[in-house]
Amino acid sequence: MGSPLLEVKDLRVSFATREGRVEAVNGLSFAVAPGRTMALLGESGSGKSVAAQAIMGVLDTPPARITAGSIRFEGQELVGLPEKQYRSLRGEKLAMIFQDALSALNPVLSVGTQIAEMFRVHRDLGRKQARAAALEAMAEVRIPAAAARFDDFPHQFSGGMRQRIIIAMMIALSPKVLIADEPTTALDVTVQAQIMELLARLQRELGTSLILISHDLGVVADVADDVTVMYAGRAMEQGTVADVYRRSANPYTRGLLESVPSLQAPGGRLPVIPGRPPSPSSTPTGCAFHPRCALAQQRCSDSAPALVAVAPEHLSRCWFAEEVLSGD
Amino acid sequence: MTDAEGPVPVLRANGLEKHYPITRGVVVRRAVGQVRAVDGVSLVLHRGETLAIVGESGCGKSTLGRLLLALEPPTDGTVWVTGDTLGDLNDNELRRKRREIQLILQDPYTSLNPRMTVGAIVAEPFAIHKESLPGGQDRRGAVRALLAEVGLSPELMNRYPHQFSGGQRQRIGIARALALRPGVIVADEPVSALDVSVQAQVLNLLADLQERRGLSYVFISHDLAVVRQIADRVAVMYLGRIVETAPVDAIYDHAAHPYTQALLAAVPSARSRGEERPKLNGDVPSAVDPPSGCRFRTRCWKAQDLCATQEPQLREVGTLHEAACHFPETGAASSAARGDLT
Repeated sequence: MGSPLLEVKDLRVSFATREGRVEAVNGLSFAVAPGRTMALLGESGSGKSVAAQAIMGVLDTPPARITAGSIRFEGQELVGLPEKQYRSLRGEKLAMIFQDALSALNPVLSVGTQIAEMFRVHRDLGRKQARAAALEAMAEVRIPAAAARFDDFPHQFSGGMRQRIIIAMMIALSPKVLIADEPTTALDVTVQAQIMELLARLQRELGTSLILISHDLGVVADVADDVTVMYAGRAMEQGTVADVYRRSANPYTRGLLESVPSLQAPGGRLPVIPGRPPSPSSTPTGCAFHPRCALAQQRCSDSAPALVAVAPEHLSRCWFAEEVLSGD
Repeated sequence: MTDAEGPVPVLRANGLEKHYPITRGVVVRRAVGQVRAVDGVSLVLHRGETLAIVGESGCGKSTLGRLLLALEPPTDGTVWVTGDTLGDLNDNELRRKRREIQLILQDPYTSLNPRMTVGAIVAEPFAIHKESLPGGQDRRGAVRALLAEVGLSPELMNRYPHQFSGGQRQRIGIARALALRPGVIVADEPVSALDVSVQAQVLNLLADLQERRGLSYVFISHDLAVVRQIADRVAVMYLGRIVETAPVDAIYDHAAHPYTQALLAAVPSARSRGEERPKLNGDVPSAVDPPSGCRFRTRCWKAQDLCATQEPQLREVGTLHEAACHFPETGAASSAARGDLT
């Protein structure tokens, strides 16, 4: 995997609620090597977006708080980093794009101005140079007729074009790590394909590491190198996409993979995981997945399994990981 | 799916059109253009069958659903539901007719009154259609039976919508839609807002209900994998028109229309990894001023001069398989052609 650019170790994030503190991320560890794509795959409430916000240093604190763990970027500890230093990292080295591009853009400024602002603030470029740089960035993300659309406002663009504008802003400063939180979930499938292709191309050209937050098993399979399958704030399984998808050692991952309709599959009934994902305020004891798991034994409700290696760089959190792995 | 005498139609749309005027001016409003949301759609749904309507946002699939339910009057064309043309019915008759065709929405939360208990929500249709209570049952009993049928504990009937998860709320929406024992259900993106593991549960529930009650579904969706799972036939919409329609296997195994091929190729999956995909540039054009000739030509890699001047009509390209394209892929040739694209 090479030496990691970003390393998250035993990260814990909790939220203050009326019912007391609730653990949204509960001991998450993963690492991203330069130029690689790590996907955090999970259903709602799995803690994947909270983890991303923790890395970016944009958690709402309070109610959120990082209670333990470490986030190291290029060897530097980010947990507890003063906001001023964090701010100089964001944009420059760490960047993030969201599902909802419209809310990330200022509605009363033209898109060109907003992209140019990145260069003016971070690169100290003059008005003219910043405009030229912004136009170049717009062309880079393939916004047609960039010069003609420079002065248009966000609402005049389609969803896919808005996401391109955000990407143009985010890659303007060639960040080392780009976090994409469900970047294509709001988009049509043909546009989604264009955006994912764009991200992959920019990643190749810039050597950026990508952390892709997604609930979509297809998107993850399509673009990620490595994947962390999350459930109730924990990593349930971790490894290369090939290992996790083809040789899964975790019953939750297997259940997910089987329950997704595919283009190839014939009709009939889908295998299902019974029940639903737990909310962070009522995480089951022991293995968080045990109430929904077909393999669950007494042991699974009594004590929580650790994330252990079942093969080189392939980890699973399950008391029966070996059996699941060999049960092909 | 078919009775002894062959498939029995339960719903028919003929030349449906819905145009929305675009107005300008505050004092004197005048129409300056039209959004052609649905622009000449004909389809037929048979008893016990699932017809999926697929397409990207803005293709008119949801508007089509609303027209089928007579929630909006069409600009032109007719909808026929088991014996009646909806446009010919007066208000009273239409209200009664609605028992036979019901709607399930993507997010039932927005359509469930937050101040009503689940029991009251599911019972509400009976307040309007008293005659529809199953014989010998009181309202409460009928609600309990409905909740049980959709996999919810009848004990939950005194709770409020916010106390339920997304999947459970969708089950409540389904229970309410079933109350009047409709024959046809229009489901508009019914599983799109659900978690992956819950989505499969609701799809299986819909399939079970169909089998048990002999329901017919119009299943509106943007998700081609979900459609493959549940549909018998598929109609692909683009800018207000159906561009291809066929039995489900024919659509997925040898799509004839370039748009269908591009849609399928765009679905991410482990299999498509690393493949070059057919290049589909840009977004869906505006329905205000659709391209001349074939509406898809501006994004089509096969477009010729003919496509700009002449609008292709749906033509047979295989058994029960129609495509509106001047240069459709036909039969076995298409799999080879799909190879060329990659």
